[in-house]
Amino acid sequence: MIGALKRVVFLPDTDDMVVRASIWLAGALVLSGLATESYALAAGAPAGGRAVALGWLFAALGATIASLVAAVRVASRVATVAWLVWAVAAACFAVGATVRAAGDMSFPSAADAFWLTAAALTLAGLAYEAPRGEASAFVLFVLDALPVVLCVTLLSRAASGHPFDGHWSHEAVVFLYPVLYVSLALVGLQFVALERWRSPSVSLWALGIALPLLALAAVRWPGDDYTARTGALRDFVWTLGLAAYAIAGLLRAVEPTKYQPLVPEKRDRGVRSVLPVLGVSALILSPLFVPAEFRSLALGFTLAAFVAFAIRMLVVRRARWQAVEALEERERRFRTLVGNIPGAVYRCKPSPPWTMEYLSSGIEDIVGYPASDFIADAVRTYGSVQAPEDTEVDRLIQEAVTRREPFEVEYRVVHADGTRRWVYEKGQAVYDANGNPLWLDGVFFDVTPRKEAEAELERAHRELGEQNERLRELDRLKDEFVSLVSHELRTPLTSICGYLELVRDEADDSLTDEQRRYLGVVERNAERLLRLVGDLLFVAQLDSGRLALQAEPVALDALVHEAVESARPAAETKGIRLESSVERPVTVLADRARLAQLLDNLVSNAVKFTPEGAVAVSLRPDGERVLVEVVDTGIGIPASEQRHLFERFFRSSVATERAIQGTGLGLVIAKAIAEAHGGSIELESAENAGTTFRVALPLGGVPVFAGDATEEVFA
Amino acid sequence: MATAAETLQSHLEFVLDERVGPLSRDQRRFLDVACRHGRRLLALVEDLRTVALAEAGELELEWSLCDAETMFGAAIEKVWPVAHVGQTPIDVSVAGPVWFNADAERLLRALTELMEQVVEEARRGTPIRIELAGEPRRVQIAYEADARAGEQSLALSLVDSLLRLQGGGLDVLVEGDTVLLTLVLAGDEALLRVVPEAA
Repeated sequence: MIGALKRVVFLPDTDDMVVRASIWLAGALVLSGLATESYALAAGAPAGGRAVALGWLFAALGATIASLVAAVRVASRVATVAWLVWAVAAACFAVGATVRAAGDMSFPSAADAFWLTAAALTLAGLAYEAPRGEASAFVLFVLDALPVVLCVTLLSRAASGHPFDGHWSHEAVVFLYPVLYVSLALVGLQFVALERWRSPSVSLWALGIALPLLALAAVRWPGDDYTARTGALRDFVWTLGLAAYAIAGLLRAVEPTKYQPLVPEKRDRGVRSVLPVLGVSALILSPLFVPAEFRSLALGFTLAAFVAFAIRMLVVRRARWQAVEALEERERRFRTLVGNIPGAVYRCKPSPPWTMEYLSSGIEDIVGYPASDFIADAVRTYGSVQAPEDTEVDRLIQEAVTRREPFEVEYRVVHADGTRRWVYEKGQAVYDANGNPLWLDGVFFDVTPRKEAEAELERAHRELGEQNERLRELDRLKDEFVSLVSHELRTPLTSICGYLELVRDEADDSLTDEQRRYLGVVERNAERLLRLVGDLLFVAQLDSGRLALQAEPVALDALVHEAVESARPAAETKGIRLESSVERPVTVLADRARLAQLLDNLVSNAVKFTPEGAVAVSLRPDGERVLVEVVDTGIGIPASEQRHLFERFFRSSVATERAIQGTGLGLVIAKAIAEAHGGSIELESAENAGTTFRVALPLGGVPVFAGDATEEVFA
Repeated sequence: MATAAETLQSHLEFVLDERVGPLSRDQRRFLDVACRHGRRLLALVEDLRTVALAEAGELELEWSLCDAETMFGAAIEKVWPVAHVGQTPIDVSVAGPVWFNADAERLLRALTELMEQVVEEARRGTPIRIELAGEPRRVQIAYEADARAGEQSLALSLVDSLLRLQGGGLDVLVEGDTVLLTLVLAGDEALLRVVPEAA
């Protein structure tokens, strides 16, 4: 409370100067009212009723201004309206007090009119605020309160001592005072019964209503000599109530959220059940206590109470019917929502066989049985459709329940058609206050398609592995086959070459030129076949990683010379210049036969693809490498075909068009030999402008391959 | 390869036929051997071509109804002299008529090469047993051999390729010194149903 007052005084969040000034004015007025009343109380009211009235006036004006400020500050439209109404009510209190203090002691007087109006407006503000969203609850509250209000009104009227003269203005005022006061009191009681009572602003507000009501009740109570107009305690209390009312309006805590609908709470319902019983009972018994002239009135009030009670019954019945309808609608909405989930929602007991309390209809799509079969184990238990081979599922779920953790499991269920379906289940246990599991809430999803896809993928992986294995085996068989075929082909070829040699040796002089020419063709074709078989065998060895190099010191300059001389006859036949240049002799550790094969392939290719011009072979060291370049002025290689040139069996379009013989293996072999020696081969070519092949071999060391083993033997 | 082999062989035969000049006795002897190797080379190249076409599914077979006994008899007859020299008896047992569909010419050449390999591999003095069974249609060739017998060869590949094209196959089982070749023969069932009338 002190903190709230501090917040009011220091106005931490108010920038509007009018509001700030109004707050200070309201505070000043309230304090003045309290001071005036204190003075009147302490001094025995030497100034008579004027001092008291002035105190009331100051306090009521302060409360009015505070209500207006609250109305401005509070954002909610509804709360704003309520506080505006209460501001008018506070003003009415002030005007009434002023009238009374001015000396109008008649009954009924204008002061009574203002006070009754003030009470009515206060009630109206509450009526406007209270039933938001809970109209039926407010109606019930009014009906419950009515017997009490009637009872108090009757008793108040009977106790007033005034004869029942039937004068309407007099009787109206006499009756309205208890009606309004008791209604306001019951509203206050309602507030006391609610949780919101804990809010400082509401507490002050309720106090601001309760205290003036008490004071007014004292004024109206028989025997109270109000005309004495002394500084009575009741006046101070009244002023204090108005001050509380004003402070409530000024508090920052007065916000829309504090004015929630009057939701029936447990304590609230308890209070309500007492109210009508008390009121009706008192009315039934009232004829025993009231004078005879009021008995007919008592009877009328009792009947009215019963009518109110009957209406209440109807309202309650209607409210219950509406509640049931709303519940059914929620149930329908819930079922529709749950029914649209691609799976099933459940609540079951937290242990096998998982007796279902609730299970959505989606389970039928998963297991083929309707949900009703499983509810309370009507036809079968859920455990009975779980596949017996997934034995760990129950244990996993129970362990999760014990650890108070959510769980996710995948297992198989036996569908009604006998097939196995995969289910993904996710859930969590609900526990009581002692930590004992009450239920399992969760969902089932049919994940059979995903599982089948996973199985299919796994099978595909396995088949791919097996296929790879088969391919490796086929590759091995192919290599073996090529080796075998090469051997079988070489045998007759070698034999043919040998016998041709014998024929030449035996009868070199006796052969005619024609015979010699024919046998030359035979020999060239035999050599060609041998080369082809050799190339095939080489490629097969390359594929199987069985290319073995026999390392030895090799004089590259001599090798270049041999390659050039081997190709010279062919070059001379075509009229091509064939040149070689060696910058300085170089010796490397290499496989002599393979390097010779490499150079032969390159030089013979250059001669083969050069119709006229020259072929130049050069050898020169280049840092840590030695470069062998074979440059020709031949037909060249189209740029689009250069990247395919080292692919096996590839033949350039130009070679095919010009019917230049070849197998498409020579460059593959050359590249493999260069790389096997730790070197490289590259080319530069332009169509009809010649080609340059550049082989780079390391000077420092050549890796030697023997089967799969690699060894650095030269450094 | 075929072109080179055919050129080689044709030129050899041209010289051997003395169309471009006479030959001495030794020249003829040497060239005669070279010519035999040339024929062997041509046959090998043709076999390779057949296997390659079969593997690529591009081999066109000339189907006919064949009698296994007759076909094996012809193949055995060609290798019999070599077997006789090597003192390798060939025992043939026939459980009944074995009819099947095949490219008779190609298969006979392949079987002859297979039998040449078998005779070559069979241990001297030990028999080669050939059993022809009617149902299922298959031929089993069993013989004893030294190490490395029954390994992959062009003849085995050729027979296997041809039999597979005809719905059968070749299985090689080597247990110790014993080699067992199982040739599964097959054919078009519709054709085979008319066998009794054809027989």
